[in-house]
Amino acid sequence: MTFTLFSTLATLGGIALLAIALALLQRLRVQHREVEVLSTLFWRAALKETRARVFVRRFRHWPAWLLLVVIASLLWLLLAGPRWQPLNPTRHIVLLDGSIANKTTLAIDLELATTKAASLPIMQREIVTAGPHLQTLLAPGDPIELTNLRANLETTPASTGIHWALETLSSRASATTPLAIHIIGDVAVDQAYLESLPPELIIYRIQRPPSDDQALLRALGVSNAKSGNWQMVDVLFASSTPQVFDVQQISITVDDLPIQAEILPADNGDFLIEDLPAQGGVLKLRHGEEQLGSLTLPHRDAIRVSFETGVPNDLRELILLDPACQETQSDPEILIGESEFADFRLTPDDQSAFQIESELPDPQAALAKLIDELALTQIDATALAERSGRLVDVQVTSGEERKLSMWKTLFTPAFNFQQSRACPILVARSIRWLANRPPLVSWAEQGMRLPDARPAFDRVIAQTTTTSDGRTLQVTRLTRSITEPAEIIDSPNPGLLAGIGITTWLGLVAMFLLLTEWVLYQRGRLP
Amino acid sequence: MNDTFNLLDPDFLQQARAMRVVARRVAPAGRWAEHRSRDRGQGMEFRDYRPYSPGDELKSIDWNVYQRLGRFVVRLFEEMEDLPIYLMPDLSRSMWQEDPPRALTAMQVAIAFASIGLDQHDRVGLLPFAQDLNTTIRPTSGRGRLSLIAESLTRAAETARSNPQGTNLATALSKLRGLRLRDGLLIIISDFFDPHGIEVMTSELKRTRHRPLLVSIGRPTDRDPNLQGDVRVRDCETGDMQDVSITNTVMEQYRAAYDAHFQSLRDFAHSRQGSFLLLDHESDVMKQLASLFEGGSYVA
Repeated sequence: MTFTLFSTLATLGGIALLAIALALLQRLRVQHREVEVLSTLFWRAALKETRARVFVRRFRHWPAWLLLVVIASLLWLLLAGPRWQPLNPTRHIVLLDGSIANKTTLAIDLELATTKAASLPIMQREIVTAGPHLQTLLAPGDPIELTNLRANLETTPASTGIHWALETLSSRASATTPLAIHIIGDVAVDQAYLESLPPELIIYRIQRPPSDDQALLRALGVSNAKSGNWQMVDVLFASSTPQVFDVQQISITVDDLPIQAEILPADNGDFLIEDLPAQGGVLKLRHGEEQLGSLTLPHRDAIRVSFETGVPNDLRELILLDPACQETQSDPEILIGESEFADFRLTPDDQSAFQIESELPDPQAALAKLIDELALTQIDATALAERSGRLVDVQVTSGEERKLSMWKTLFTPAFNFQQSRACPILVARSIRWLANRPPLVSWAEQGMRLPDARPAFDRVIAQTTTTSDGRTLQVTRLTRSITEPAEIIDSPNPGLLAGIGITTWLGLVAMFLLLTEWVLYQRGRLP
Repeated sequence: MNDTFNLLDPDFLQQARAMRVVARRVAPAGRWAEHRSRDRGQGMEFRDYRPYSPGDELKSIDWNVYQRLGRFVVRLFEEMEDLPIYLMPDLSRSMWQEDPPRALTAMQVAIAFASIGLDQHDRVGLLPFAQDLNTTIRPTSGRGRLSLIAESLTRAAETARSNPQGTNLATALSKLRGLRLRDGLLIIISDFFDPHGIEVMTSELKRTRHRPLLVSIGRPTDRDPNLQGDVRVRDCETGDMQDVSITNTVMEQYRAAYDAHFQSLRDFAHSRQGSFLLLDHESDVMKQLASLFEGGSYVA
């Protein structure tokens, strides 16, 4: 047996306390006030008569008996926890957009969700929030008040969208038990995706009251600068309240220092700020005195590389064509060569094709991640093996710092690898991995997975997203949709008495009957 | 005279003297007094004839009848005799429990009837009781004996108050029967809170040959006690405890038991051509007694 409100220990402790309290009350009840009377003759007769009526006198109080039977039956039914067998088997899930970073909006959504859930059959409704993962705030049968207890009001904006939540929840629908999902708020759902859903899954939307007096961001993100400057990024943001959003009142600061940047209108009513320095500063947008959102800009300083002698010319040119790399003769971050000191080491063909030395304590466990991160999956390993006549393998070892070794022959015309599309990707990823410069997450938006999402990007803590290089990406509402938003019908309004369970009704009837019994007893109508 | 309880209050006695007890019939073999007797003899009022039998006085033969019918018949005259009045005031513990005690009222009632009886030359016996019957005071007559009765009653009351006992009316009545007293008016003045119950009381009452007058000394709170909540009532005579949770139902049952108790006494009294008077201890005694004396007389 489990308990909803308390732990087992607390429940048993409460029972013990109640038992003690009742025992004390019982004892208080027998502490009669002693009164001396002339005779107890009539008291004895009265009590004898009373007792006789209860136990042995002929049955003559049918209405009173029936009333007591009804009350006792109702209380027993309450104890048994009755549940209606619903006529409509549809289950309902009220889905909260967990990416909401605005506490006021989240509180409004939570209130909308609890109001909706309260109007649904208690055993067929639940409240689920789609944040970094699905979290059940209210399970079927739970008291509605538990929602607020379980709701983590610390916002946990997630970039993983709501489609995956719908996908996960849709598995609960079947032909016999249809599922209705009531989405709170204006989170976008792709029309094409909506049409692909099975017929037993019905999507409703519960509209949030329009916020007329507060400017809110709908999206905020960074992308590579259109100018092509590696050390610059473009910032794009969108308003969810265009009627009160005045771009003239937008002020921009980086590390709390105001910067003068032109805000350009973009498609779909969005706004663009071009060529902001990618130096890891914290960008903040303010609308008047109100902060709309903040974002940590990527740190995109140049990767200083140096070459030993003997480096194939194709590889050298490929690296120097990368705008992120800058050749230097002193204090390089990445040394490329054949010596054992090189970070990017070119090895003979008799060694493993790819050797990765990672600072991770258990690199074997992260092998797949490393292969993906270095884009090794894009290499046509079969063709390479045929040309080389050797096994193309990947070895991962643990070390103090990152090192990467691969065949020098790969960058010579011998295997024709330097002509493949995978070559520049492999080199660029390798250089960035060695320099700990992960690719920029160009855009994060709700409704879609991150374009190049990795597990590290999906882990969202509070209002920040931690990138794989340890940088912090602070986000606000990520609701910009680049797909065709679906028109979702509004969730039907419940009836006035909807959602009141049988337990409540039974309790009300029992209370009424107990009150009736008390009144009758006080008036002497009940023995 | 030791009159601690001021029983001989002149005003009180003056009111009592205005009342009379009239017997329908008195038992034979009594003293001359003012009540008609079943005896036929030396009275003034002719009542009947009967055939002559040897031993009858010749002067009682009606010679006129003999002349007309040739038979000897004897004229009978109504005998006027006294009505014995036996006063049984209850002096048990319950009668002393309150202030002023109910026993005082009982004594006043007893003195009132004693005064009435002695004034009309009846024999008045004082038989106070509690656990048992006090038979030390013999029936007496004569107007001058009222002070003697009052003194005896006072002495008995002081003894009872200093050494209170429980009530046992059945034992007292049984002992009364053993005295083989001439039939008369038995006035029991009590609260009738005998712990042995009404059945025992009425059973013993039915065995006595006297005409009963039951005077119950009570007060309104006897029927409607001002008790609430959970109480433990303790009998002042027996010490018995009874836990009671006062509810409307219990109070109704209490009142029903109270009413049934006194209705039994009332029924018994009426069945024996007697009377039952519930006398409020807190009201004027004489005014309440007057309700018994319609036109100034109580017909026993």
